[in-house]
Amino acid sequence: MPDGLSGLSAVTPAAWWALLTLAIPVLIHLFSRSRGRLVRIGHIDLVRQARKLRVTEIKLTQWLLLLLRLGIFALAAMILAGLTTTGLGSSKAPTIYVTPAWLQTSSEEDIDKLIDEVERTTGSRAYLLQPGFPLADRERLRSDGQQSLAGAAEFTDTWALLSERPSLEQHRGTVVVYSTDYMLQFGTRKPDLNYDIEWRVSHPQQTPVTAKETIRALIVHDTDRTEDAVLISSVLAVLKKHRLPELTWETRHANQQDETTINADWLIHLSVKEFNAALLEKSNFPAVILADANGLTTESTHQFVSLPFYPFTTFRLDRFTRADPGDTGDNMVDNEKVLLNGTDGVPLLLESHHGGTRLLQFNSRFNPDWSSLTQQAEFPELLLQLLSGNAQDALRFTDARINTANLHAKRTPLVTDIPLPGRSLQGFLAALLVLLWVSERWLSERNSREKG
Amino acid sequence: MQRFIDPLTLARVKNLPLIAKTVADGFLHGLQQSHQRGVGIEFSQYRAYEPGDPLSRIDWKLFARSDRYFVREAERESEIAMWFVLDASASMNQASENRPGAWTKFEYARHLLATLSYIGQQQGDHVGMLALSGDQQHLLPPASGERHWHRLLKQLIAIESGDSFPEPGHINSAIQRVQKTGLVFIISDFYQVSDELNEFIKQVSAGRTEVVAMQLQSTDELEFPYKGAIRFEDLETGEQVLVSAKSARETWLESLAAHQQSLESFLHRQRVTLNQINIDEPMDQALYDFLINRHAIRH
Repeated sequence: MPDGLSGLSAVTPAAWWALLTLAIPVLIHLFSRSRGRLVRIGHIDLVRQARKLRVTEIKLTQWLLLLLRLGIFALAAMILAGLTTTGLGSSKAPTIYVTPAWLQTSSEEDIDKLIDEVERTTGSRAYLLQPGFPLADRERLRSDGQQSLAGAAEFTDTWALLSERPSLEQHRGTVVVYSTDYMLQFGTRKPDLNYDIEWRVSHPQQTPVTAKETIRALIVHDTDRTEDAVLISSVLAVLKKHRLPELTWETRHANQQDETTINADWLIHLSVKEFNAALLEKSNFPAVILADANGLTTESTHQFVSLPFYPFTTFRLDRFTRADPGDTGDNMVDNEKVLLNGTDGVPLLLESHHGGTRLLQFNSRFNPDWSSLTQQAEFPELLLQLLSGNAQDALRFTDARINTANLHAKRTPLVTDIPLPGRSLQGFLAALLVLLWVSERWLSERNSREKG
Repeated sequence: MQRFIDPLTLARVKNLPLIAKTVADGFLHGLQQSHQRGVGIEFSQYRAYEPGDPLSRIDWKLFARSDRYFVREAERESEIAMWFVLDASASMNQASENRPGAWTKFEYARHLLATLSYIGQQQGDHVGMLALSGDQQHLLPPASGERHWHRLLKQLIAIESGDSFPEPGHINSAIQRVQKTGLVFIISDFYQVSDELNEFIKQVSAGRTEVVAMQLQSTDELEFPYKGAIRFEDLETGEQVLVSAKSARETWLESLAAHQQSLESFLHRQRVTLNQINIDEPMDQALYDFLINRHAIRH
């Protein structure tokens, strides 16, 4: 198959038999009156002058009609066969992908170099590496390049998109990717690709803004929980550095804090003092309260658990056990939701809503003696997910960078016997068919009128 | 009621003598009131009876006296010999397309010749025939009598058309014989490859001979009813021309008119009378028109 057609495939190959109908116009041409109905006359001089005028046009018209009819039948066969294309055309020119983050963190000079690279090679095309893979022409590159990086929302999952692309289009030439080295751009999984990538990685100094609103956290602790408060404070510091630059917090002793005048978004409560529902609904409490065991411990149970929404870490945990195992926290049983159970089925983490406040009750302590949870590397992430309330919306470490040496993916051969999903050519073929049909009708009618 | 006989009807009858007689009788019947009736026929001489002579022509009184059969021979005051020159070239094979079974020009010419010769024979004229084409030459010297007419028919049936009209240089002896006597009918379409037919007419009409040109044409030829792409083939040369009928029609009619004008001009210079006959119209009507015109010219 010619190189230009190698990207074409048929949904219903059996329909290629319809190409046999190409014989119809050929037969019509051979047996039609295009060769002229034979009339024997006595004196050819009577029409000799007419020959000079018309014979060329007649032949040309008949050949044109034949070509148009062949085209119509061939297109009909292609439509029946469900012709699709998986290629970007016959060109082996480079295909260039540009991540929005690269575009928004690059200088005009860098963008000009990119445009030069696209325009230098005939057939080369640039696409934005974002869902839909929009074509990035000169105007688009310039206009998008003038925007500033708005935040983590601007980061597309490069690996996922590069992995998806061959299922839509088949690369024939070199693949070049313009990207930043922000880790946020590369998702969580590095796939095996069936093509090589020539990376152009920039290292922007600009730190993406991830959250415009300031988050205020308050750590309230008892006197004997000062160390735990320091631990939580250090975790918040990590979050501030990598995920929430606008995060601020303060630490207060429980005795210094008036429950009715808490001015914070998050309250991390490390105290024996319990909350009652009536107080929570009346008072202006923070949006989220994370409280660990209140200290009325009578016994503890040693067990290893993992969180269902964060299953990668198993940690040791001593569960606080209340005096009445059925009583999981005073009178807050009506709207409680169990987020985590222990191995014995007793709830470890409970969530309940009271007015505008979401209360998270942890039946253990953020203390290394009670739980190894705080020692896990993922604890900042886990804490962020718990406090932000939605693990999927959690922001990542915006300023994290990747090691560009690790970008080269393992290449896997293209599995050729599995048909790639192709772009249907039905619409294009149908339009072409209509065009040919109209042309054929017009030419045929014109021919008939002239004959008449 | 149709007065004349449709050529298609005649074409279905495959008997040449019958057709000739039918047409001639009908034609002569139509002329009964004309001045041609009995003109110039008077007793000339007796001659011995020959098988085939009509019994009515035997002079029974003389038989009673001599015990031998004698036939009364009558001849016109101005006895003429009629030559029928038949163009047997391939171009005479043309016929109208939309009339299946219709005669070709050559078939029409054959029947026309048979009919005219029958009329001549009936009037006591001597009739002779010269059929010409490139590869054949049929010559029957003029003579009178029904037996001679039958000989003429026999020879006429044997003629096949083909090739082109011969160059006059190849048929000098035949031309000399035709030049000698009175009335020469040239039955042809008057299409020629070069100038051979004109040369022939020039030589024939050079003497005291009266020459009558019977030009056979078809309706297709005159009206050009063709449609679509047409591949015309010259019957004589085999040359083919592919044209669109619509655009070629005007060219055809113009060329035909020019050709006709040229022919008429030439024949007029040679003092040759031209009679155009449409082979798709009744033959007896054509004969009637011919003789009426001829009579009108003479008087």
